[in-house]
Amino acid sequence: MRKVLQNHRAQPANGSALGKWWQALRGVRQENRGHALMGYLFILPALLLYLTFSGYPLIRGLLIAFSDYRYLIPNYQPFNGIDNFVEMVGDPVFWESFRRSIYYTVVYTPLNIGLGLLIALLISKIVRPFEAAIYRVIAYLPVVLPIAVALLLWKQLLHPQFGYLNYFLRELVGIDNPPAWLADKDWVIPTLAVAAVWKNVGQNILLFLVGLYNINNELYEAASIDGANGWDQFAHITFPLLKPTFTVILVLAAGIIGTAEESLIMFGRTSAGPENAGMLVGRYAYDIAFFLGDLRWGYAAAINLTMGVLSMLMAGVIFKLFRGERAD
Amino acid sequence: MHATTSPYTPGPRSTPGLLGRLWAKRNQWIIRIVLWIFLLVFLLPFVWTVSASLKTRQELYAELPSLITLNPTIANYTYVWRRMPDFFIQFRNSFVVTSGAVLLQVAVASIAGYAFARLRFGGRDLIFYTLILLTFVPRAGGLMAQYELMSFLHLRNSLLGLILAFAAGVPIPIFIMRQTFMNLPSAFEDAALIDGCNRFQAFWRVMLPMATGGMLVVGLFEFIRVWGEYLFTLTMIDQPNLYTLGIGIAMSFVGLALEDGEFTSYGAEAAVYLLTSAPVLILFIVFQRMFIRGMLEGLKL
Repeated sequence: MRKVLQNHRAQPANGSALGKWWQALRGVRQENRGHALMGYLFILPALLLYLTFSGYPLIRGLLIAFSDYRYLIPNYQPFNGIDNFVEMVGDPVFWESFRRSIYYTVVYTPLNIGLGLLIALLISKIVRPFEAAIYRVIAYLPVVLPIAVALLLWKQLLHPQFGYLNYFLRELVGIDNPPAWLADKDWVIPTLAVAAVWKNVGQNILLFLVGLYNINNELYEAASIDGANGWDQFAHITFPLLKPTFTVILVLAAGIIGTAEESLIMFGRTSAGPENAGMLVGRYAYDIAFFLGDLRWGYAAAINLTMGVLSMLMAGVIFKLFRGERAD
Repeated sequence: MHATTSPYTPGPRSTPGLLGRLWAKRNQWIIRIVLWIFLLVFLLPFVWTVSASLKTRQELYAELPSLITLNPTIANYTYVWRRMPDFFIQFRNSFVVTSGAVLLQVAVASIAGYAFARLRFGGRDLIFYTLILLTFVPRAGGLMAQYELMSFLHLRNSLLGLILAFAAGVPIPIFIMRQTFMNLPSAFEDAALIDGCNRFQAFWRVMLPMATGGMLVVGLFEFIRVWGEYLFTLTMIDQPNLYTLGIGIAMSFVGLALEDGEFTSYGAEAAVYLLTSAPVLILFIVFQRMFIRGMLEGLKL
């Protein structure tokens, strides 16, 4: 069985994007340049579009983070080094929203990954292909829903007095004082996180399923001949071979620290929930950039950049952990 | 034992006896029941919305709100039809933006993907992997820089601006198209070239028709992304007559139905949610196999 496993793993591990980029850079000189003119012509439209509307703002956005750019003050965007970041460290409102974002992430990420894996495992055990397809569709439905629809649906369901959920809890479960969810400052963050899990977990389910379907059945057959039970098979075959999937999912999940949309949709532009309880870092930066004072773009960009780098560091650490560990 | 099953390899394993078959059957039922408990959570908000949109006002006010309505009415939909002209303007705007972005993106990503897969030119791989790498760069002031750029180009408050900006997210689509073209046999293309086609003709007449699968994947993901997009549209569009559904429904309803405790528009609201979601839900259900394919490509990244 070990031999089969090794063979399975011997397939080329896909190198990181950075590695491939480096390879390409080093290979530039030896390239065969047979169709130069046609080649450039064919990639030109995509490249123009990308560079104008994505690439340039991306780079410009990085530079803004190191200036005291205030949009409402004409011609005012002086370079100020790391002043924005220094200010951020001393900004209590930032720390408050950062704490909320961490809380949000701590609720969201394990649920999103744990439930995703569990449901994917269950679906993968369904024998009839058509039945499995139906389950896949149901699990993915919330993912394709427009985000405003998904969140407003939940807002209706969660309404303290008239919402269906509290009706259910009061009348059928018998809880007299169900939480007020989005109207209660202590419940806002977990409620937002769970609504986001409902919306997004289908993505993980599908990713895990693709990983599970790719695992060669012979491995399980060999294992059960060797007398391995269900848990052994999961721990020694399924889990190790799902590592690439885990990496993708965790890298995707790391980006959620800076989300601004949820509280904008749930509470509107002028509010971030009771006592600002829904003010996550992303929302704070968005408010600074587009609603507050003279629109301090520099400061907002600095906050976003910090969150982005933090997300990447997290993703990088996770990536390393999953790549480095040997499962034998 | 049961762990050996997977949807792609049903069929009998090592001749199970009657007992073994019963065992496997029982396990399937246990899995099914556990699974349905989860799936109900996914479905309940949908069921609730559908039924709310079909309920009369009296039923919505009822002491015991039921999940299923016994005498459905289309009153809420006719209310949307007659009283909410905004909804149709927003629907039209969403349709214009989404179809524009999908068509433009599929077109530029296909031709670029073909070049990256099949043509040889200096810096080809370097350009390609730079594009991929840039998707990992954190978006510090990206939205603000886009605001600045769109203002400068007079593309703020413009559906064309939205189309161009949404179509510009090309790195992943190019990746998918490149992968698609690399997987096609080169024999057809070679034959076309020998028969006197030029490169563009070989691409357009021979290769592109074989790459519809990849184009469909790119188009579907773009359609779903753009149809429901919120933050960018919110930032770029101030004029209510240019709202798309993605932001329109949040603007019209936040604080309207629920926060004042006013219930009259409850059913109409549910109807609007369903009408807003219908295009993406239908597309997804019809093409659901393509999504698995899209995921497979994504995992290779």
